[in-house]
Amino acid sequence: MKEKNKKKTEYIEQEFEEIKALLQRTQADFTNHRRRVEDDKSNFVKMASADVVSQILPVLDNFALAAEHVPQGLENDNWVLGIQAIEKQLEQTLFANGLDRINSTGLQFDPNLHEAISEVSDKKIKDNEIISESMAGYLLNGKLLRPAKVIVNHIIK
Amino acid sequence: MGKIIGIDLGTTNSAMAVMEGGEPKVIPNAEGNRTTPSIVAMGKNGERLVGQVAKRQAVINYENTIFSVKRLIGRSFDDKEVQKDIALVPYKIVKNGTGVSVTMDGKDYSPAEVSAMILSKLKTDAESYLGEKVTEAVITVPAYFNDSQRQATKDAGKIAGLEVKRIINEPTAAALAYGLDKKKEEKIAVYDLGGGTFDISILELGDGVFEVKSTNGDTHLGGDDFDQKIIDWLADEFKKEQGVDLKSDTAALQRLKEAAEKAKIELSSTNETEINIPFVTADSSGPKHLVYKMTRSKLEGIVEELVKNTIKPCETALKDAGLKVGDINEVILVGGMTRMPIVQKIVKEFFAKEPLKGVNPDEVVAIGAAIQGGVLGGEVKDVLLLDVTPLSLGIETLGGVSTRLIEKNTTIPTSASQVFSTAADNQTSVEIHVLQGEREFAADNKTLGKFILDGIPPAPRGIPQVEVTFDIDANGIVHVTAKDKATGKEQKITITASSGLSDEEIERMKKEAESHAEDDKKRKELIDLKNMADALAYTAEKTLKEAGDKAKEEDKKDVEAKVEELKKVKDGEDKEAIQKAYDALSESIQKVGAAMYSQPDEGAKAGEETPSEESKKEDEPVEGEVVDDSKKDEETK
Repeated sequence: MKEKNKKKTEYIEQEFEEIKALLQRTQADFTNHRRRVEDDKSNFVKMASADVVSQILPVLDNFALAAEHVPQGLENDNWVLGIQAIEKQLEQTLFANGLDRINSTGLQFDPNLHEAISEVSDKKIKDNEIISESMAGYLLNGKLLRPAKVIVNHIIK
Repeated sequence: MGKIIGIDLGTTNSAMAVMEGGEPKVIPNAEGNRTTPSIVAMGKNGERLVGQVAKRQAVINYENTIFSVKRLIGRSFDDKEVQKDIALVPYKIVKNGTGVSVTMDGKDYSPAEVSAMILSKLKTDAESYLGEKVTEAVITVPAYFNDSQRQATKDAGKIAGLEVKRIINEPTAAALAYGLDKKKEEKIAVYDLGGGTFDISILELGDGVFEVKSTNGDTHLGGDDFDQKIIDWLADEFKKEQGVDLKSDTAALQRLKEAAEKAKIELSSTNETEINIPFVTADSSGPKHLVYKMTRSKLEGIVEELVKNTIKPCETALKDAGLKVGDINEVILVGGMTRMPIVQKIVKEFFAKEPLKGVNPDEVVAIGAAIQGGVLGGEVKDVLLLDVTPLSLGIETLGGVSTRLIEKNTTIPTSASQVFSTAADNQTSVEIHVLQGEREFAADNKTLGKFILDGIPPAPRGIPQVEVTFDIDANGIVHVTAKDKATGKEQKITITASSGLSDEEIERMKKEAESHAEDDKKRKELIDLKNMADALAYTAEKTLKEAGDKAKEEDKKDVEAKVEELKKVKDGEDKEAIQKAYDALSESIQKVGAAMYSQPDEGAKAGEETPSEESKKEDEPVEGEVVDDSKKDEETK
């Protein structure tokens, strides 16, 4: 009888300790969660526009491409100039909202800012230097939004 | 003891999750992404790059960028898979003892060491996110991994500073994520179509243990192949129509790749999308644009063959397990590609049942690993696993309305209280009619129970305070208490879980509520209006009595007439009529109420009353009333 009671007491004590620890863990988890929700909220406010802005970037890209292909003789056409003014307006609006263009051509390749899409091998140019940019890269409020797609000089030893 | 995180160390992408507050949570990496590419590289300056950043320089540093190292871990040099890889990958693979080594920047590394670099980044990012040290993990491996591969994965963890508490099979982790371990005996098929590989596993659950009966698949079939098919089709169409081969133009190819992936994703949720790539290329005749409308059925036609290729391995796996399609109890979908409707369709057709897909297919394995980690760490104790109440609970209130106290999907245990009152003067008892369901009216919901609280001291309607409390304990048992705040008297009822509804009934009720939402809303608005009309009529009569002599005789008669009018229509169904009578009475009774407060000066009273009448009436002179021209001008403005 005493043996049974002793075992029972031990079992209850053990269960109690486990449940107490679990409660503490749960309370801690909740506090952490609450803190993280607050952090997430302020991050969200900062980066909420990131998704929409990324979706607008291809429009900027295509304007740039269009500018490269203005038909001969129309460079000073008023309508063409008007379209280019609209492009500028789009750019300025985005820049005013925290968008920053990443510099690439002529600089050293940095995988934190650039994405290499192909390479050339020119001994006359420095190794790892960016030859040209295929698509512009951008930062939003200092954080990488889209890496610049570039062609890099890779000297094979 | 810290948290044991769950890691899905994938061939192309890895993910991690942890149990928090009894629920699995995916941990984003330092870049904010929920998955991390399983790529490692030695950069130009000798710095180690892991994840997305390594992927970005793969093209120019291909000899020192290691991807898909999972295909090599724990294998010997002579292994067929290894030999196949040597021919395919741009980095060097050499023999090393019983295993292999890969070369980065002139140095040799074992696949375990390379995997450790990935695990190390995941560990660091997890610590940063959780704000605490992480030293233990559960890592998943394919069900077909042998001892050597499992041991090598464990070694990778050790090198990264993680004690690997357990190595579990990916399909088993998926089953855990869906809570299938709660069932008694199940035969489960796990269909995993990810970025680069396809795996089908047949599991059998018995006595709380998952056994892998068979596996099959294709180690070189995944989302990338689907994208390639779309790219090929687009390039071919363009060549046919415009005579230019886009695949030979690096920049154009890049844009094709992105457009193909975007279209694939969009067509999983829409039936048609437009692929729009202006200025995709240019030739002597000027710039060219790629603009195509792609329908979901067109896309499915392009990739159908790839999806059908996954069926043969499924048939073989079933045969090897000694089972027939009818023996399978559940099918689980894993891997991003399973989001495509055609994949889901073909899986459903083959297994003749609806596959489980509620958990994010990219994260399901990591989540299962986290759950296992939670169990090992003692966090997931059966007795404290939380449930939710599937349907809303409430009581019936005036007008047959169902008033919710606890919303559906509230985690239990929980409790909620609200104070109610009586509907009639001198009402000394209230009937508490406990309801379960989403409909607006008591008659449409399920009755869980009824009880009466009496002994309420006689009082005008709306005065007594009866506090109704709903309490649901961890076992789902509902306790409803009604307490009269004046006397402290209370009555309660206990409702056990079994008196509720079955799963099918719950689903049906939810669907019915949705389809009836509009109708219910209109009816409820009408009932609310009727209740308000009732209350106003009552208040108006009371006010008249209290006003006594203070109110003018004509105003009193006016109010009485309006009350009669309201009483006539309020029991009908004409919402507009009730609203009109309500507004009319409201306006009239305000005059009487105002009179009870104002000075006993007839002239001033008239002056006060006229503007309010004029502002409400049309802009025309009112016969026999003092019309102040200046005031009138103000109103026309």
